[in-house]
Amino acid sequence: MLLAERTEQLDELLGISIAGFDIPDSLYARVISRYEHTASALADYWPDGAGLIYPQGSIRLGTVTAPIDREGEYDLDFVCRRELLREQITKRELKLDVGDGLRGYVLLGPDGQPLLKEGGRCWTLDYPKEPFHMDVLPAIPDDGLGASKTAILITDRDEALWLNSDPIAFADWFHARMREELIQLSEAVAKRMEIERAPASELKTALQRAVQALKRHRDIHFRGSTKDAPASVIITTLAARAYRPGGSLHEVLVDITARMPGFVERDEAGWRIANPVASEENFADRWEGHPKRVQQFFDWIERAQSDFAGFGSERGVDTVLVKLAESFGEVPARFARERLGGEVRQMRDRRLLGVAATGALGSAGRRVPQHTFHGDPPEPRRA
Amino acid sequence: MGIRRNPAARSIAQQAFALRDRYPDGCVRLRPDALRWRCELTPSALSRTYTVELGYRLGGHPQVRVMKPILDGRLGESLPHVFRDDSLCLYREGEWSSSMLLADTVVPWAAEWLFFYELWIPGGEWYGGGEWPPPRTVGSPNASGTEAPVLDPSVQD
Repeated sequence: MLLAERTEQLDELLGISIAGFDIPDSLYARVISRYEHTASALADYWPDGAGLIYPQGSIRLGTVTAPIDREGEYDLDFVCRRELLREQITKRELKLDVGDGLRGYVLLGPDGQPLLKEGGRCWTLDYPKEPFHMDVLPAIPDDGLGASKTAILITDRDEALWLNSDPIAFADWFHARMREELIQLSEAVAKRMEIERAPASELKTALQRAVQALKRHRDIHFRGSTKDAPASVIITTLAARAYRPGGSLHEVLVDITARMPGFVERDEAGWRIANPVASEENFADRWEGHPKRVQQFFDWIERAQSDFAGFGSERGVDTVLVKLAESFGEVPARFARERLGGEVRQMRDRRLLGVAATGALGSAGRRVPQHTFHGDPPEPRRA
Repeated sequence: MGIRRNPAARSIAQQAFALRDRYPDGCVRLRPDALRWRCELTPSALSRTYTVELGYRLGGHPQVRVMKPILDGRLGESLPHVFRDDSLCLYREGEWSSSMLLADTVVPWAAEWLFFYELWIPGGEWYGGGEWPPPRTVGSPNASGTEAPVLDPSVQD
């Protein structure tokens, strides 16, 4: 859509580009169907809620971000929570136990023909013909003193320790950071679509868009050296902490990236990015013994800040589009220009395009009559 | 020329009046049978501001050029929908006649051209629609049917 204000037009382009990283609806529907099928099979395998599978991470937060390459896959995270006490099972047994349940499911030959693969901490249901896989993290309830109902214990990579985690509470915390905005957005979208409740896929706050933008920027920045890239949970936590609602999407991107480094703590034990709902969990533990990763994180966030700030710094839709492509890749930039170009073309063809005294095109002003651009096709320039 | 004899043809004064009315910041220079109009156009909120010049002589076709900034082509490609002299090719024969006001046709079309030009730069796709005539043959500039505007030296600088 063509908008009269510079800030609004920039937000429109950013919004379109970032929406290009959303998981497509049809794919999302297949993910949900595969997940629900797995969940119901496991409910038969472990009756009475003794083995519950639920989404965590980006799929729960609404921040799923498309892989940058065609060969890349959506990495979707789930928890499989077995109703057992830590005295009843060893860490290794838990891993094998969940693996048994999933293997039983895979042997049923369900839709999508998933293959089961063992990973460091989780099991992966890999769908050979789908651009996604599901990582299933074995867990048991955290029965510790003061632990919330959703708190879980998971095993570390060496299966030596029980680690605290609470993905449901984390998602609740994340959503609470944007509660007001979500309610307003839901009302606005529902009104626009003339329905009672807006579909969740239509609802993305500036925080969710910012997290998607940062994840994509990271994927491009760390292309080829992904092991040094900051984890999504670090980005999500810092962005949600830094988030101040109310500004334009562009302002939010610039503000968040400027403030994020300030929420990384350091004490005598080292770098610390505490899980906001389970402070004993330190998301920065991967940085321990890797000073290069720390430096690379700060370098990256500074780069993201300057890239995002740069979107609005020069005139010309083309310069904005080129900068969008640098930050987010060629596909979303093309998506944005196709949308904008297509919309203006359609407005003209339907006699809805107007022109103002400044030459600004839009829905206001005198109608632009139909015409056909003519002339010669672009040709190779002779030197 | 046939167009000149058209009873509905707008006079230079009418054309100039409409240009001033619609684009108060533009500047018109008049001769009895020709005009030259210069104006800054910003086709969208994020766009650059372009200085555009329109030359028109009764009986001829309007000629629109972008004076500032100098338009970049894509690497190794000429600009889309322009004549060989880089004036803009905004309509097909028959879509414009001297009975129409330049201010309400050619000028908004030029604004549209500038908008689609900015979208064209990154990927080379032209989203504004239009027609490409068959390729020109060497030595006959208009053999393809591309109607070049009447170049009018009297309203050139």
